Amino acid sequence: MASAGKEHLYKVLVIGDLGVGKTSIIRRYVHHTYSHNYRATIGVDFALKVLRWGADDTVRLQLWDIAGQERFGNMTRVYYREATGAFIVFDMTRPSTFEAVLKWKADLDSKLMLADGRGIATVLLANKCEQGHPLPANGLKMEQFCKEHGFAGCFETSAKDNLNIDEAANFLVTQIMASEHALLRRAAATDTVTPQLDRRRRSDGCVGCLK
Amino acid sequence: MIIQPGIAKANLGLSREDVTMEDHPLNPNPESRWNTYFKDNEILLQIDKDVRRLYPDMAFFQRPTDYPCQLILDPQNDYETLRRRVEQTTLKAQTVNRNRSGVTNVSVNFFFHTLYLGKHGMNEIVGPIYYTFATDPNSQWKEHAEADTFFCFTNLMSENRDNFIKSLDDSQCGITYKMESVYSMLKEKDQELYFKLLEQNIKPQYFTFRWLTLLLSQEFLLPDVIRIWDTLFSDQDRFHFLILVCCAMLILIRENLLAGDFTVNMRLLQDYPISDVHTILTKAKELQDNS
Repeated sequence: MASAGKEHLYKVLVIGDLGVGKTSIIRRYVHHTYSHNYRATIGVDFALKVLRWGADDTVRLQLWDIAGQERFGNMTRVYYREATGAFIVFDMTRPSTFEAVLKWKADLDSKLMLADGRGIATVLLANKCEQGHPLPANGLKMEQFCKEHGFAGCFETSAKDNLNIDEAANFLVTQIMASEHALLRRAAATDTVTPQLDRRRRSDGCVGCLK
Repeated sequence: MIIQPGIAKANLGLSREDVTMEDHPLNPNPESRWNTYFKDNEILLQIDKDVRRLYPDMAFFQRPTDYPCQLILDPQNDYETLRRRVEQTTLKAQTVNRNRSGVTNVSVNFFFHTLYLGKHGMNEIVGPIYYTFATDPNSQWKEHAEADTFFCFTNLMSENRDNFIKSLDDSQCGITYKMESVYSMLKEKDQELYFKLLEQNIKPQYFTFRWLTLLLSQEFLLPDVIRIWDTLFSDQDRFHFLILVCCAMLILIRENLLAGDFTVNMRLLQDYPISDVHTILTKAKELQDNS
């Protein structure tokens, strides 16, 4: 039966401000461990999580843990390439990290786009939820916030108490698969080649002959 | 109510001047003492975080120093300890372990007085230097570890600081250029491996950024880091030799890299498998002599 199973490989970015718990979330998710202090991530860290999906599919998630400091801003373009999904993380006990969420989202959207021009599937994580502070807005407003700013969803997580991380990851995988299907359908529909000017691509430079 | 930023000075005999008209906590003026105070607090918070994340697994970095700064500890003194200030700022959002306040207190003060530009990761460079001085068998040397560290760190950063400056990233002295030069040297020394990494789309940014900016301090155990630095700092062209070391590290695991797929290779490079630094240094020297 195993031969019938498909294998999916997805690159997932984990971004957000310094110290919100990106590394802790990944360690919890991949290695099932938690520690109060991790060494700061410099540049990027890389981890792999293999999931059984459905009856006999396998999902391999490449998790890219990207340093939260603004210092590394120049580098993010290289780290983002070919990612198909992202977690943007903030710390529920620090409002400034929530304010930075939109900055990260804008950075992501400006550097990465799917073939159909949409942003990649992105899920918002409100981490350190065990510390009991309420979300900056109530549940309904979060829903509205996600809709307004293009997040597929939002989860309150705790790397410390292992809350909601698997759920959030499964949700993200579902979302990635959904946009993958949408792309495939779109590709199938446009199987007939229709030459046309693509306005978005004109500025790329190497298409000078189209000017 | 009139309060000086940060500390109740009523018992210090300072006169209670009325500053409400000129300065107050909500004053957005960049020259405001309050504004500066809050800005400093942000940097202090980050430093505090960095210090607490420095070698969290090593007992040495978690215990109080044997030589705390007397000036700060003296209750008669009006110095406000920076750690206390950070504690106040976070409103106890993070619990600060009291046992540790010795060494970290020293470090926090130390950092603040260096030209700590809020450049994340510098603590990883201070760590091994401080450790070396603070574990010296000579107690007189030990006692002045902090000052010695300050001196050495400032010296080192004057050579190395360009790595930490974002606007220089793409210039000749910036980090991007250095990361590329690891690959261009690899191309010269081991073309097959170079093309393999290229083909797998493993960019130098994926691992050499940390290798180079932190001078390999996160790749090896502390004693081994100190051993590497010893060779590195005694070389006439220190930072060029660092590139040779990185190149040697790649070539030493070439068989694994040539056999591995993207994921396997990324993990090899992120979690470097060889712990014998002598092999690495010998290889680097060999590369140097052959060029």
